[in-house]
Amino acid sequence: MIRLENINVTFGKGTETEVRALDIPALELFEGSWNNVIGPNGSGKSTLLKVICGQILSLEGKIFITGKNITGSGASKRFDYVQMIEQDPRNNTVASMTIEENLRLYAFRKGTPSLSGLKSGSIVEIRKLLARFDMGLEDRLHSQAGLLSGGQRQAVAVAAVLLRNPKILLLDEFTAAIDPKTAPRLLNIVKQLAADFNITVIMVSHDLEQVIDSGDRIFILSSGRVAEDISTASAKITKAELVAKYTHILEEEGVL
Amino acid sequence: MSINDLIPILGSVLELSSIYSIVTLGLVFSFRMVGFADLTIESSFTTGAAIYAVLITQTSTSPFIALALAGAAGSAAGVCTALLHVKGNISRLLAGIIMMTILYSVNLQIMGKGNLQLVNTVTIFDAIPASLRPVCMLLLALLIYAASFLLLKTHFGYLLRTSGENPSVVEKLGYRAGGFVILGLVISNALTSFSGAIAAQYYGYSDVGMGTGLIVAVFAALILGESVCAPKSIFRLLAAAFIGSILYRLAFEIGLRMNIHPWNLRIAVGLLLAVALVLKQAINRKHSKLFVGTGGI
Repeated sequence: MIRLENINVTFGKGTETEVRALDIPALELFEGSWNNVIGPNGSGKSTLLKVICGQILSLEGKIFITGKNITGSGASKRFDYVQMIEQDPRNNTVASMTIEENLRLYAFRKGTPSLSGLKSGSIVEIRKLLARFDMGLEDRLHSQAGLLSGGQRQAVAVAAVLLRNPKILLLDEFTAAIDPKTAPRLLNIVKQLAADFNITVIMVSHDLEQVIDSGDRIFILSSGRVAEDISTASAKITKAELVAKYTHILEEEGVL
Repeated sequence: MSINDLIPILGSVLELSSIYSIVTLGLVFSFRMVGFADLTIESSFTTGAAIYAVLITQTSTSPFIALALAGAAGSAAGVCTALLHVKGNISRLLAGIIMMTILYSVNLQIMGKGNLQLVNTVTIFDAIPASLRPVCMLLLALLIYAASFLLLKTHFGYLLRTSGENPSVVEKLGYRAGGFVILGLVISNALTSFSGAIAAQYYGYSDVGMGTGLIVAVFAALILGESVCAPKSIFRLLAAAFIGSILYRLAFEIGLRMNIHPWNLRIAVGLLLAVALVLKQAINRKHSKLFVGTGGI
């Protein structure tokens, strides 16, 4: 599904502050899989997501999505199959717009006439989608997004990006700003939705519990490299094991 | 004062507020949509009036075409201001100030002098009896508001609105936010120049100073409108702009009739804006998330 070959991202090339942000010789993520990424600050987690969604284009190496080389195409061209949800709900939705308007904003597609993404008949589908979050959003289509709680607002963001039928969903600590009761619930719903729509997910998280409970693989990044690639699809890893591995890496890096 | 005295006053209030409501609508596009408190309008209003006056007095252009050309000139001014900001990285406020200053000279060049009289010239309302003119002007303004409403309900409108409030979402959607800033100012200044041309027609002259103080006036109108009609939706925002334009003009008219010395009119306008801002915060804070530029304004 996603294949990275000899990816190399360097910030501040040729200056004193040159940093090798990402160095991945080979990485393949399978279609419909859920991939977790953890790692200390500056380990390259966000850089990895930005490379995949096309926000960082100055890099060495190649990126393939479903076998197609997309290395040179920018974020706007990848928008039809890659979607990212950021940590801060304010970056994903527009506060003054209602839930419905936010969904319409995302549902529109380039090159198609206005409002075609969301005809009146599809409002039923929208309500169904929103109902799955079990937050009463389906009855508040005319509420402004800025009046919603952080969790509700992220749920709207998830619904909005799903309207674009993405093949790949990037989650950048998307539950970090949400209360601990709502966060796991939202994560569970996103997992179900990703499975239903066969979406390949890469989730960056600092929450080890979240990472253990979900998905097929855990990558531990360190200084831009994949330090550990743990498959959790068949055999779950225990929290103690993961903590041990993670601590070991942090110690090597001198963080601990 | 009897009711018979009141009717012509109300007529002129209606006509003038309809004319200036188009500038307020422009402010909605520049300030509430793309987040640009654009000072250019102080001069592009006059540009519209100047171009209209020159075309009508010195050529045989029809007033309708003269109005359209006035609007086009305004949109060109909008492009310049937007480019100064988007491409030149000049702050929004300064970009507006620069264009406002440059346009002042341009306006003098267009007119060839500081004031051009439009006595006994053709107007777009020639076919209509004078008593019906305020109603016609009202209808014209409402038509422009309706067209703007429909525009803001399209995909383009959604993106325009997002570009001011949340440029990162526009970028996420695969567009450049800067492009929408340019288009927002184009629409805003086109509306302003158009309004300026109609104002010239109404007053019967074009004067190089006729746009001075306009930005405060339309801000006062918009904020006043928003304080009585919380802009929770596009419809209510446009309604607020229109209602505010009428309220502002009414307040102005009352001020004039209370024999406020013309020197002190600006004090009254400034105080009105301050009061409207305070009122608006008190009323709106509770129940709605407002459009861009909510930090204090």
